[in-house]
Amino acid sequence: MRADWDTVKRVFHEASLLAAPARADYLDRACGGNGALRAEVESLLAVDATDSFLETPALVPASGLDEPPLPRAIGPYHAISELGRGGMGAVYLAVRADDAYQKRVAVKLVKRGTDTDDIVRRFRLERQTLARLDHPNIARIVDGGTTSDGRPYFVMDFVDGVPIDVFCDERRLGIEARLDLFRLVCHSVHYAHQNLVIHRDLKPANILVTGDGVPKLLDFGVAKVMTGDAGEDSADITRVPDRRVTLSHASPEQVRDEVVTTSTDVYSLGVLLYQLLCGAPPYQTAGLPAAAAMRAICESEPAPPSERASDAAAAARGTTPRALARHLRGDLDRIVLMALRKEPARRYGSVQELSDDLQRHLRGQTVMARGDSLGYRTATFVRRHPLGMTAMAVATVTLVIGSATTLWQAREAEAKAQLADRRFNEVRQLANAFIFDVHDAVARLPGSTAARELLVGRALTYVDRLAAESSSDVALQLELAAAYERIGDVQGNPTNANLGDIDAARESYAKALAIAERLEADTPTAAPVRRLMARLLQRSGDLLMFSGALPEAVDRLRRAGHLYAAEMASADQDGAMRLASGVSSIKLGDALGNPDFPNTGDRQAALREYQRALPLFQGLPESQVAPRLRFLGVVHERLGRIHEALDDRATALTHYRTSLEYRQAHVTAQPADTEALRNVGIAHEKIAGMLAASGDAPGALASYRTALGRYDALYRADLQNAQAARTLLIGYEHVAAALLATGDPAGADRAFAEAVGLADGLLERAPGQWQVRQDRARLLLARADAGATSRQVPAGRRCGWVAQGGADQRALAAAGHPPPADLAEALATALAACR
Amino acid sequence: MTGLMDAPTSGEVTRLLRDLTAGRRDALPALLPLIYAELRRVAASHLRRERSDHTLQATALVHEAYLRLMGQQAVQWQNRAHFMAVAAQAMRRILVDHARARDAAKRGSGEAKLRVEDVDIAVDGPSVDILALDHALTRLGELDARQVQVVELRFFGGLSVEEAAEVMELSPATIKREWSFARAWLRRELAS
Repeated sequence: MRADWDTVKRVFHEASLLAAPARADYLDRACGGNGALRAEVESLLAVDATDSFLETPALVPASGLDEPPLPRAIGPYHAISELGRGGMGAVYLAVRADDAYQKRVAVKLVKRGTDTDDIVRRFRLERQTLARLDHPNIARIVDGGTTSDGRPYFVMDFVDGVPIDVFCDERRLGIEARLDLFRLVCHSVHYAHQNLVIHRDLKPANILVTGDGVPKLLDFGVAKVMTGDAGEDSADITRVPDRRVTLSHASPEQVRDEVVTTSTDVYSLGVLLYQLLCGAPPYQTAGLPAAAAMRAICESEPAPPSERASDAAAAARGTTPRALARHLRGDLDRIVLMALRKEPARRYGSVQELSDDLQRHLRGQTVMARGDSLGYRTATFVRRHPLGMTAMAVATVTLVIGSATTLWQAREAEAKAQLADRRFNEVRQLANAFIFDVHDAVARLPGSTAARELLVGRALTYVDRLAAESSSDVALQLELAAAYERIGDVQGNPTNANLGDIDAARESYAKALAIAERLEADTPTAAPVRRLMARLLQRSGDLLMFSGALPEAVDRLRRAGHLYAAEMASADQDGAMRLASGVSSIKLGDALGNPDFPNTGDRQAALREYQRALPLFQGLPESQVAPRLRFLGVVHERLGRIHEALDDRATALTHYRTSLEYRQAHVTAQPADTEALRNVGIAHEKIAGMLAASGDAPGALASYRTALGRYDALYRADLQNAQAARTLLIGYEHVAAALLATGDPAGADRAFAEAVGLADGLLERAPGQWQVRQDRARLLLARADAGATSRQVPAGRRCGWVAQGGADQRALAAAGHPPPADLAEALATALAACR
Repeated sequence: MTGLMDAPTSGEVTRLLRDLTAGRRDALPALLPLIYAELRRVAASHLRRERSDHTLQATALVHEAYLRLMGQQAVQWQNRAHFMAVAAQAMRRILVDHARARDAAKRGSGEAKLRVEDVDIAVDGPSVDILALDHALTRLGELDARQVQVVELRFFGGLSVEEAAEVMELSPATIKREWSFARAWLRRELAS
């Protein structure tokens, strides 16, 4: 019999308060004849009451709280839970440890591997581009870096959703609803392509759909960072095709490790569309050895989706297999198969075209996609594989004997081959028109940034495609290299109006230089090749200088200078080589000793280069009047700068005034040239600097204000131009300093506020612009300093600014761009004073 | 870095605690995983600062989780009491999950990989087999749910007698009485 619980408790309690003899008496009384009660209580009393069992609260072993354990810290992030795990590593739901809002992000932590350094390097190159992808259907890569033990990680927007194929099947979406969703995916991929980012690993696991039915693309750019760019690391010829891209969705060019273009994404979207429509993959690669799977992708023709409509697939689409097959047969079959063509050039020209064709289908209009005829396939094969033709021809002849259509097929093939060649030339002309004619026509117009971004995106698509299939024809190769060069200029050459994407520019120059070096090895005496080499050396020298690699920059610029000097001496009727030679001297001078640029500190060498350039420009022929004015303005500014650095203010001021005259003349000659306008502003600032240094504060302020007026006009004309905004920002900073010098702290504070506002706007649009972040930290500190000196700003506000500056400083350090030591030190002092 | 940051779940936790205080028991299943996660998060943040073989006091974890989730709000004391009760339960679950995972690892990968100190939950004093304790507590729960809560608060939540009394709205003397009985009962169960 079981003792009554409450009684046991009561008796136990009473007894435990008593010492041994009294306890026995008590138990005799309390239990009476209830032996079970007595036994129960005595067994409990027998337990050693003096030990500390459970008295000390539990200790939690810190290791192994989780199985598998969450990483302790991923850079500044801490993982909350594991979201998934794959060949590449694991993905965690995480928050930034120092983020007051605790925004949830997904952190992809890469497994340790042999090429960790390469991944980190490539990620640094890509980071700016990826951070710029701002689209409602793209999960942005917001950050990345390496953990303390050296593993790379990427941080992206956290998406709470399921893979697109699962979503469609779970909701039993019909074909049209699937096509609508798929087209949303197309739009975001197209947007990324316009921003020069190719996904390279599109598959359902990377396309999540939220509960509201919004698709979100993950991992944009990650595949490139993980695997490197085919064609970029040309030295590494031993590299085997990379298996980190998912084979089931890989294109033939990826399998063969050839150049990847936007067309690769068209193909992968074709695979996805195939699956969404009929529920099966186009190639049964699962379970096959890699080599067999790769062969299937490169060689076999997929069955039309309509032939793969199974019972299960039909059920998941709310229809019958027969109705599903009927729905897919025709247009949808053709659209999918066109996206899945082996040759990139014969797929849809862009993801947009694929999406448009689906829309035509949805509206009942005629679609663009047409099936391949057998003749076309034969012709293409012949054209592409001339060496294998002898053996092939025999086999073909054997096969077609007895066919009534032999002759017709041969003619058809010939016609198609000619058509293909004509198309190739058309594409080439179009690409050239985009980059050379259209871009040049709009580049100098205010307000053209967005249009230029679009042009560059388009042009790059075309050029990549041309490069992928071009021959060894020298003229064509020259064209290609020049095209990459121009694209690089527009992407990020800091010496002209550019889209601020230095990494993309570097990549384009590298492609151009690779072509040029190959050509030079083949045809070393050709003038166009030498000129191309010189240009490319100069362009990449520019970029190297701005990224701080000075010895290499000086070396390249010198080599460019020598090539130009030789060309100028041989034949130069129009003065183009004379101009180029002068410009290359300026660039070399800048890198050698101009304090406004990253430089080696050799002022005298810089002076010699500038002085060498002066007569070259003065001697330019009449046909070159605009460049003549422009570069005389430049070279006098440079001469002024060196004399300023040598503390010869009088000579410096003379050069600056001469520079201003040339620049004003240039604007008169070319009033719509934004760079000319900006240069007038810069000339005013240079003069202002000299006046300030000689103690003429009001004169300096007036000149800074004149400059500011120019910058403001430029900024208003092109609100999207980051360079114009940053120029205006610096203009305000200078005016603020000049106002302080004239004893107007309130005015200075307003100017600082304008500058900070501009920085805020720029960073909101693109948080990765580290120079702007550094500008903002400096401005906030200067504003706080000015407020402290004038005693017109309460300490709370000032310390708020300093704290924001400190946050910017930390962000800079985290992004690998620590601010200069003096700024860091001043911030630290100001932060300490606020504590 | 401040320890008083507003965690994402903070508002949710407050709402659920209010429901619980208002007598809505169905808030408990939603609340438990939130606090469970927060405790792990706190533990993880300790891990970043300290050695991996470090052990953490349940008391410290529960209080820190409380501060992180509720610290900046004016909280009714009933809410705090409910929080502590749920946190103690969550901590029990964490330790049990950990012990299970450890046993699974032992079965899976062989004894050799396990270090001696991994084998039992560390306590000052005699070591406790956490899974056996959990089973015994489950049996005790069938007889006396109140005692189980006292044990959870004292041992897993690390609360003092006075704190436990406040949470359970009982006198400290009652808590002491329940505690000494539960200890003796559990000790006997574990010994058999």
